[in-house]
Amino acid sequence: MVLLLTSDNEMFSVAEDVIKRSAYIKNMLEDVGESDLPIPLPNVESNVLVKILEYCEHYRGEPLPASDVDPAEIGDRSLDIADWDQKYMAVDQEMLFEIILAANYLDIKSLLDVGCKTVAKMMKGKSSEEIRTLFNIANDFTPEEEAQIRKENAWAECR
Amino acid sequence: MAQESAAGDLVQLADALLEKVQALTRVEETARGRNAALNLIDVRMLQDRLAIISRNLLLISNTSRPGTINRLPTNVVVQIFSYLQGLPLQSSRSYFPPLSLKWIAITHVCTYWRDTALSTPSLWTNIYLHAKGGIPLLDAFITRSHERPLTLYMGRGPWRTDSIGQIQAWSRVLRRAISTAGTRVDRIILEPGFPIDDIIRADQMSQKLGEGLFKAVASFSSARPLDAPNPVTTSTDETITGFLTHSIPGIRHLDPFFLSYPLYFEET
Repeated sequence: MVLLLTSDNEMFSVAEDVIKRSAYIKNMLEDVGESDLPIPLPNVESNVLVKILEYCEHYRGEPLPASDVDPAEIGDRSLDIADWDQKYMAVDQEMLFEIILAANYLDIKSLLDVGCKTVAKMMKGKSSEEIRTLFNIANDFTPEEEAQIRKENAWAECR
Repeated sequence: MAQESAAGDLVQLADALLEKVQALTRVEETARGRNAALNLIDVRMLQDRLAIISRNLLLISNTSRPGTINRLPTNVVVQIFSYLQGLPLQSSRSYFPPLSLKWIAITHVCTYWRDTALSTPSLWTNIYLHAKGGIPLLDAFITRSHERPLTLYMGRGPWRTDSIGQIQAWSRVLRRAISTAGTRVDRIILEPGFPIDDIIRADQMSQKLGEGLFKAVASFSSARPLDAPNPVTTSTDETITGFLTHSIPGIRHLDPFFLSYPLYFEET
């Protein structure tokens, strides 16, 4: 079993083959070897780790995906998401982004992919204004910058 | 903790500034009229600095909100953008109908997204060439893709008939691609039925017209200095035919006079 200590000081005892879906933990276990000391996860809160472990448990025993892929060079750009993953990702935005942040930090590539696809699907076909509203993003362009962007990207509007 | 202290210092500084500004922006009323404590130059200088402060606060407002998308690091945001951009290709399981440019809305959302998208060349390497708005689109993609290899997709877009004007427009766009980024193009994908043969024929015709014009005005050429560049002839690879037959590995087999087969085919 592997002990994990979250940022809010909760201790989790997790089966090694479950948490090895995290390349970060896997490498740490390989580097450090067997230890009774908990692995601190200062960037992950307990409620998020519960969700992460739910994912790792579901995919327990499945082959691990290859790592070291440039995110901008992803080969499979399909936005298809498995049914179970879709249900898993049916959370509020705050939790969705926390899961993505944790997947990125813990280096769980498949979960990061699903998170990114989920966000991309939410944005699909939306205008910049609709995206701002969706994610509560402030428009931080100055009026001059906005005018410049509109002019510069007139070709994008004519489609 | 250090962050809280810095923020506290800033608030204190802002309070002091506010107090000072209120003292300095008094307007005194006398029998001779109203007098401001600051002159216009000082007011403008103050406004400039306040605008900078205001802008900086606006820029961090998106990231400082808890649970917001803009807390995601750049590598993750790029991955989201890549998925979003690739959508039409995969959802239709085909290169055509053409990729929607709707994803470019990400560059209009906020400064962080815009800077991230514009500094990620791989987002801009797949270029759909259309007659309408073609050259500005092409130029933007070519600039933003930096030195990355390019894939050109040539499709009809919303135009289902091939007027002479459209053939000429496609020809202009393709010529532009050749002249500005010909060495970077490593793939051209044509929509089935795309009138590439008409475009090449029009290009060859314009070459012949150009050569004919040059011969016609040869008698005037003595007026030009001998070392002046020839104004109408172009190197082989700058012609569309030359480019398609010589520049791109893998399509050297192209017979420009027998183009019932396009260069690269989308899989149907």
